[in-house]
Amino acid sequence: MNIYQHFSVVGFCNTYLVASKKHGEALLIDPGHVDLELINLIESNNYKLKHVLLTHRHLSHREGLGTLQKIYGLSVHGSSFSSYDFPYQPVDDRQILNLCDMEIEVIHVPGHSLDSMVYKIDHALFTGDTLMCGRIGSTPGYREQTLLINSINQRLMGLDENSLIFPGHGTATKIRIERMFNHDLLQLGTIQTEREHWRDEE
Amino acid sequence: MFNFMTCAHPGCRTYICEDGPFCFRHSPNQEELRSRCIQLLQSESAMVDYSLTGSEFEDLKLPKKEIIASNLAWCTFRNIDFSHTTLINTFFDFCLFDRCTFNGILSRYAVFSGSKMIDCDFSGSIIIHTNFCGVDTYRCNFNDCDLYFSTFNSSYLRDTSFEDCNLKKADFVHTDQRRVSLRYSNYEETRH
Repeated sequence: MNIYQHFSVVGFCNTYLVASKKHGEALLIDPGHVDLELINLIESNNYKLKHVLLTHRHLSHREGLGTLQKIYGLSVHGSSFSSYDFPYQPVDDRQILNLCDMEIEVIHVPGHSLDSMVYKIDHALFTGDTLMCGRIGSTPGYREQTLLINSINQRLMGLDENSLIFPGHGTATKIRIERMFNHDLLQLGTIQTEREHWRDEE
Repeated sequence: MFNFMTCAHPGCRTYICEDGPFCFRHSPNQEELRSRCIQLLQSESAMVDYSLTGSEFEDLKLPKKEIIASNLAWCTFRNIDFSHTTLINTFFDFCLFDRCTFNGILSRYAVFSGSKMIDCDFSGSIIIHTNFCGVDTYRCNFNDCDLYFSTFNSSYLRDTSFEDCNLKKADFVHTDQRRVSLRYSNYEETRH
């Protein structure tokens, strides 16, 4: 699998271009903003852009969609909890999508927004605004924050610790790194224990 | 991206080296894998989608080269000169860097998280969107670096200088800082 990152200065959102190594078709995750750099990324690698996956409905993660539709005519996949003013194919929790010769698992992680979805492709997790490097996504209140922490703990922290995380904002990371250093998750007992002993062992 | 297949050794979840069935630790031909990696590091051609974890490297000078979408986690690097290399989407998490030089590098979406860095020099580099979460730095130099959107949270910083750096959108939350200099840098624009 090939993964290319693109950073949009509008909304500071990461867009990911993902394609299987043996296939010419590609998909985009969260097209925050379309600029020449993103078009060059698609075209210079000779990809046929076919699909767009949206992690959630916030505008900073889908603002470039209109432009991309005009150029490529894409099929858009978003959470069935969302409502958009354009046609899209709803996806549900635990659904498996087969797009561009890749198997994509949909994981519902509510909290940042009710419709937040994480897409798992092989050992790569595209977490949108749910889990970022060293922190969790913003929430409107404590109730949603608890929901988000619980969702992350139940649905993401149990995954392979070497899984790579590609968030909607900020730097790439791994499950193990977040287990050890993410202070927003430290209130979870088992993770705190792991961190407490991290430097003692050396 | 590097191969996500995990080691064939029972219970091991580490990613395999290149195309072999085992990770470096469980590979029967460790020395061969290590010398091939050194060869790749010292050649001028780009290192792309390469994976080798838990090896040790010493006294190397890398040419001006690109390391892209590779995995060199849990490695030990002693006296390695990475100057003027380009690191994109490459994982160096939980490594030990001892007396390593990173002058004038371009790092984008690289991960150094959980690493220990002793006497390392990153000065004059562009290090954007790079993950230094949970690093321990001792006598390290980040002077004159562009650290836009880089993350240092939960790190232990000792005798480390960030002088004249661009720290816009950098993250220094929960860092433990002793004798850290941030002179002429825009620390107020960080998350701290």
